[in-house]
This record gives sequence, C-alpha cells and structure tokens, in this order.
Amino acid sequence: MFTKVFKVFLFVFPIVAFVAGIPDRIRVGKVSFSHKRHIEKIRNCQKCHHLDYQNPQACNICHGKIGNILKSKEAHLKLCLDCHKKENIVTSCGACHIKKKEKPIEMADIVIGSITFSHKKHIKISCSKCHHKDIPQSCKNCHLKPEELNIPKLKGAYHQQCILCHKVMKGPIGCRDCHIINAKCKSQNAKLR
Amino acid sequence: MNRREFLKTGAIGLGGLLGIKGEAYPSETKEFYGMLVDTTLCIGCRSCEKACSEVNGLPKNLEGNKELSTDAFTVVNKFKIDNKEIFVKKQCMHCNQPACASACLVKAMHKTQEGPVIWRGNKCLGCRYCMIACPFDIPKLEYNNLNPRIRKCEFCFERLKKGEKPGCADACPMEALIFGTRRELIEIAKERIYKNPDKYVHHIYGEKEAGGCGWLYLASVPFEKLGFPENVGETPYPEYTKEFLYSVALIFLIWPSFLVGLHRALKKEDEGD
Repeated sequence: MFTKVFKVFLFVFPIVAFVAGIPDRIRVGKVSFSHKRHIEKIRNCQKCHHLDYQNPQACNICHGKIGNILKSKEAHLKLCLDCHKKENIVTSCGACHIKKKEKPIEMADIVIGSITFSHKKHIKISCSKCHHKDIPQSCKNCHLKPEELNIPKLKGAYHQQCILCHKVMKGPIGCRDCHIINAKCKSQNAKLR
Repeated sequence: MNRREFLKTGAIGLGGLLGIKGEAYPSETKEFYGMLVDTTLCIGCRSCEKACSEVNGLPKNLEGNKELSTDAFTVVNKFKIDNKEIFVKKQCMHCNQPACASACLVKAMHKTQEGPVIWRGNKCLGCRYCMIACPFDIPKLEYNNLNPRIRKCEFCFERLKKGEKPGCADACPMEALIFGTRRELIEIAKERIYKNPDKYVHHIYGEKEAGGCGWLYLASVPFEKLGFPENVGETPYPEYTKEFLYSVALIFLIWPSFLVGLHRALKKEDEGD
C-alpha cells in the first residue's frame, strides 16, 4: 500500500508539480492522514521525508527491507506517536485508525432547527472556513458570549457564514432555500415560543 | 446664505436664547449607547423595518418605503454601485449634541443620559424647529393629525430602560447592527477596518459627523454614494450659536448693569460737589 501511494507520487508529482501537487489527504489503510494539516503545523518536510524531501521516497524502500532499520509499522508508530506525545496531541488508537464501520464525519448531515446542512455538498470548501478553530468544537463555545460584541452571536454567525459565502459562490440566498419549514420544526418553534 | 440655512441658524439661535441655562452636554460621567451598522453585512431583508413597526405600533406597509415618514422610523434603501447591491439603513442618528434638541424652544427634544434623543409630547409646541435644524432631515410631523406629533426613531428608549436591545438590532439576522456603548463600537469599527483594509472605506460615518453620532456606519464604498449628507461637518451644531448666545448675555445683562453702575457712580460725585 505504501509503495503504491508513494510510487504514484514519484511518477505523477515531479519537482515541477511539487508546489501545486502536494496532496491534502493521504489514505493509508485505516488511517486517513491529513497531509495539509501536518504541513501547516510542522513546516518541515524532512521531519518525515528524511531522505530527500523534494523527491519523497516510499517508506518501505528501506523500512522493512534493510535489517537494522525499523520495520514500516514500527517506524510509523515511532514517528507519529513520539511527535504526538511531545506536542500533546491525541494518542489514542481510534483517533487515527478509524474503523470502517464508523461513518466518516464529513458525510453527516447536520440539522439545526429548520435547516438541514449537507456536509456532503460543502466538502469542496476547506474545513477551516467554518471550523475556524483547530479542533472542531461547538459554535456556542464562542458565538454565545454577550460581552464579546465583535463576535457575532449564533444567529448572526450562521447567517454571515452561509449567506456571505453563498453570495460569492453563487449559492441560494433566499430565506426559504435553507429554512425548510416542516411539521417537526414548527413544533420546535412552538416550544420555543 | 440661502433661506434654509438662514432658518436653521435662526432656529438654533432662538431656541438656545430661550433655553439658556449653560447646560453642558454630553455628560462625561455616563457613556452613550450607540449602534454600529456594517453595511457590508446587510442583505436588505428589511427585518429591522418590520421589527420597528411592531415595537412602535406603526402600520406594516413594508412595500415601497423609500423615505422616512411618520409611519416609518427606519427605511432600508438599495444602492447599486459597480453591479454590487448595497443596502443602507436610515434612521435618527442620535447625535451627541443634537441640533434638534438645541433648537427646541421648550426642550421637548431631549438627549437622554443613555444616548437616545427622544421627543416629549407633553412639552412640544409644534413649532417644527427641530425638523428645520436636523442636518439629517429626520423628525417628521403628522400634518394630517389634529393633534400632530413629531415622529422619529427614539432608539427604543422604553426597551433600553428595561435592559433590552432596540427592536431592529434584535431582529437583524445578519447582526449587521451591533448595539453597545459608543466607545466599544468605535473600537470594533476601527478593528474591522484595520483587519480588512481592502474591504472597508477607511472612515466611520458618525464618529465625527455633527460632533459625533450615536449611530455609526461602516461601508465598502464612499459614503456620499450611499445617500449620506456630505456637508454635515464635524462641528457640533449647538457650537455654531454658542458664541452668539454668550454675547447676548453679555450685551443684555452685563453691559446695561455696567452702564447703570457707571451712571450711579458719576451721579454721586456730582451730588458731592
């Protein structure tokens, strides 16, 4: 699997495409590795691509082939875990090795009142556009502080986020395009009143 | 000086003349409340107009409101500039030193300590000097009423006293209207301009206009293109008549008493001889 992935890199992304062709996400078995986020955080390619970072080699050219060098599995464990421990990032197995049964979070539809937000349709946009803090967290953590005047409250935050982007991307901007009134939310509204 | 300017100066002068008490406003002790309108966020849904009508018990004629009237304390107008639609809300600016309050003979127009400029019906004469004095052309008189009232936005003063936000700010779905103390709002506005220097015109309308207004505006195009009056200036309107009014006191009170005193003094000397 590693060879396949990295061979593709070797042939498809020569130095010319180096700048443009860096993959955002690499899927290796159960692990979905966000290349982009690690580039943003580490800013040092040689940390992982320690031979020649401009022509990344497949890991198992050496790891697992040459006797006194760590096996591929151990090498990744060491490389990832050591750094994660050092930087205080999640170290639980499930954080990286996502079981196939679990629905990846990107696909979940989110229902807020009368709105059903399709994550699927918005997947082309970078996550950080909406999840602007490092770790995805509840919007309410910041967007519900009455004393912070410059941070919009929930109503304003959602509307600003959606409508301003829809204006640029030519998405629907009519009220009823997103607020689909059905029996369920009518009863919810009645409760709120 | 044209007729309107003459009337304006006269109105402010006369108003001040009858109401001289050397009142120093704005009071420094308490902060004024204000509102920041970010026109780049407004989507023109007119929720504010609707909320205003509901709060003030006005008829809900949402169609075709282009100008302020006795039935519309706030209107949202669309401006098409470079194929971009920009919506601007208009209402009373709640100046720090309002010309209307200065012009009012009987202090029916009143700048409250909290910031709103309100109209007090039990004092009003109906002279309409406030209408002439206002640089933004805001107060409107009910001409078709037998007991006419001056109607204008009062910053939802009743709601403010209860600790609630004004109706329009509460209703705005985009939170293009931010309610807070004027000092905080200026800070926020400056921060927004500083962080998005390309997005905004580097000017806060209302920060210095007419000596400072309670309502502050941010925009992406020059304000004169959005129907804001340009010739308002930065001098508070009561300032224009202050010197004149002091001289009135000097001439009518001090000068005669000085002359009388001089006369008495000279007379006594005459008698002594």
